[in-house]
Amino acid sequence: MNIVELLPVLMFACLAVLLFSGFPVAWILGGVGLTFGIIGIAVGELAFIQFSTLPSRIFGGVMENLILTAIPMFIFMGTMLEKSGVARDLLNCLSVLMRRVPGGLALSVTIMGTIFAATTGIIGASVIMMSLLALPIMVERKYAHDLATGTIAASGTLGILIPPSIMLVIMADLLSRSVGTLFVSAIFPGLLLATVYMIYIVVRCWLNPSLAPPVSDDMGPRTHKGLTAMIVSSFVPPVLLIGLVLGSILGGVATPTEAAGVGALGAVVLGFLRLVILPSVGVNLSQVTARGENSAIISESGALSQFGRTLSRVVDTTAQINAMLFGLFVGATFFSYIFRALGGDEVVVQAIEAMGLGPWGFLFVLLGLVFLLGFFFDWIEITLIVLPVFAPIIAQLDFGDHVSRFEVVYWFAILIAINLQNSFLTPPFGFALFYLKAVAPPQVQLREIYRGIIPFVSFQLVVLGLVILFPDIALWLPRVLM
Amino acid sequence: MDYALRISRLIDRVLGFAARVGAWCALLLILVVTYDVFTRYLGVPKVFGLTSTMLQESEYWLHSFLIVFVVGSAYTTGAHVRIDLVREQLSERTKYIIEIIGIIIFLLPYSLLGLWLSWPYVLRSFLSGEVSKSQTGLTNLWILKSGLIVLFALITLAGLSQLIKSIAGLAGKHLDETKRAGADH
Repeated sequence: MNIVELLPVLMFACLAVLLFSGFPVAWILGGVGLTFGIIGIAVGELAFIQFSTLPSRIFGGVMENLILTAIPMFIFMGTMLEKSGVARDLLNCLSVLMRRVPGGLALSVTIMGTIFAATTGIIGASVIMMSLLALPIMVERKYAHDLATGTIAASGTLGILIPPSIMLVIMADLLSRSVGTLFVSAIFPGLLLATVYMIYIVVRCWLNPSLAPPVSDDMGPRTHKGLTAMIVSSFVPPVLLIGLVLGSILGGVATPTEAAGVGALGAVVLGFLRLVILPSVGVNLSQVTARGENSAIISESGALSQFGRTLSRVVDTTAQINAMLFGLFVGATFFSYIFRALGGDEVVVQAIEAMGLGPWGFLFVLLGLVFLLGFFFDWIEITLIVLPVFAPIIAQLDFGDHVSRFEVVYWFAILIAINLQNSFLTPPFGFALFYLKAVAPPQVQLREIYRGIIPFVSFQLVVLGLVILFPDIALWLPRVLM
Repeated sequence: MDYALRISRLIDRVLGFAARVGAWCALLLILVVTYDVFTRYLGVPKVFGLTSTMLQESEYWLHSFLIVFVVGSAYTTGAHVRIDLVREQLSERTKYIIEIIGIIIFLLPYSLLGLWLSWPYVLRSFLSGEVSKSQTGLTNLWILKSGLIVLFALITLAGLSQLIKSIAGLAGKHLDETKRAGADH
């Protein structure tokens, strides 16, 4: 093997090393792509003319792409629900409703993670949001720290699996498959995972109530009327909204892009209700929240301007997250184009064939690789850089009767999504754990976080194994629905 | 140095303005999608003889603007992902040096190449009067394509601004905005 054939390998090695410099990933991708492009031209592997197709690749892949348009709108929807306080109200309401269930607060967090999975999507952001919302309350209520942190980290990472997840949108785009079908495939595995978490929490807290002291009964409204008002104002609207968005995609009524747009507008309406309408008709949510916040009466114009400020912040945050994502997307487009042009695909195929793995061997190698990468990188880098390299191979795999040829890609995508959760939570480098530690109250120790995560990681491994053994967990629903 | 920092501040203002414009495209995008969905499912005719195809194409136009106007500014606000594992252990000084090297050998060549390649691409579209592939779609595709020029031009500007800040930071100027160049996240 001469140096020219090794170029793609060198390219990847270079990327891997340079990423750890801490320079923004998007620019490193672009820079490494350019450098190896020039080397390629120098050794005669590339013609300069190949460079010039780049703008059309970015244009066709990123700009002229109606599927990816769903992404900023999903981000908008989640950010709006969070910043307007709708998310916090929902969590409060859930914890009041479940105050008599063992581990009620932890359960509320898991349910929040499942419902809001939709809208957060980026691991760092969603773990931070859940930690800030729920961890201080749980620590204050004397929850065992390992249970509290484990629940938050696991529930926060559910978002990449449970639709409408941004990651699945990008995966579907890169694998040239339908977003809707991938969403539907993710439902049962996602719900299975959430259910197992909940069963674990209830059983463990029921066996040992000291882990999760029950929330006192004086929390929340005391009257039935007050309780109903709380449910109607803080539980029903967001659940209805997210149900509507998901339902319209699953029912085939709307494309994911359409559902995202309507969902985002719905979130604006909910934010408006929460910040302007409800205060003006005298429903003061701060009375029904768990911790008595300042219940200063806000005048109507004050409420309007507060809504305006919130909207403006949501717009900005959405734009920044979206820019981060697509800055990387453009860089990765450039990188993988040069990688291909240098013969990277053949190198990967040859290497896999040389290992003599067969489809099952390849499956496990890829899952192992993704698992390792998840120690260091968020799914954004993993799906954008690694998936395009293996996508052509995945599409060719033949698992005989186990999975039909057409469905292999969906199955693989779901396995990767479950597996990623796993690697984000696994010490010593678990990605989600760092974020959790960063915003956790000081009395929560890293040791407790590590200990808390063990049961959740083992459940994920079990679910991963189940979906490998019984692909129908993922593939049955799309067959029926789509 | 003060003069350079003033340039950097000016660039940041330009980037900030571009980002505001781009960001509000998100809200516009949401409104367009919703309008398209409701008129289509309710069977109401659209205003100004617009077609669903036109609206859907304008959706990815808006998304493109949302991307190209903001990517540059996202660098100056620290929104782009970095792998922090090693970085957290580094001194301020090393961070600035990495930033300077990174901008000079990665970011600027990349963004300048992008600019240089995009220009003829957009020009060709303009001169040929390129329109959408679908018959009922939007015309003047060159406007959308010039987004590529905007994208790479703003990345270049952001790179220059951060370069100035990092050099100032290395020279010991700990102004508020120099901190942003390498230190924060």
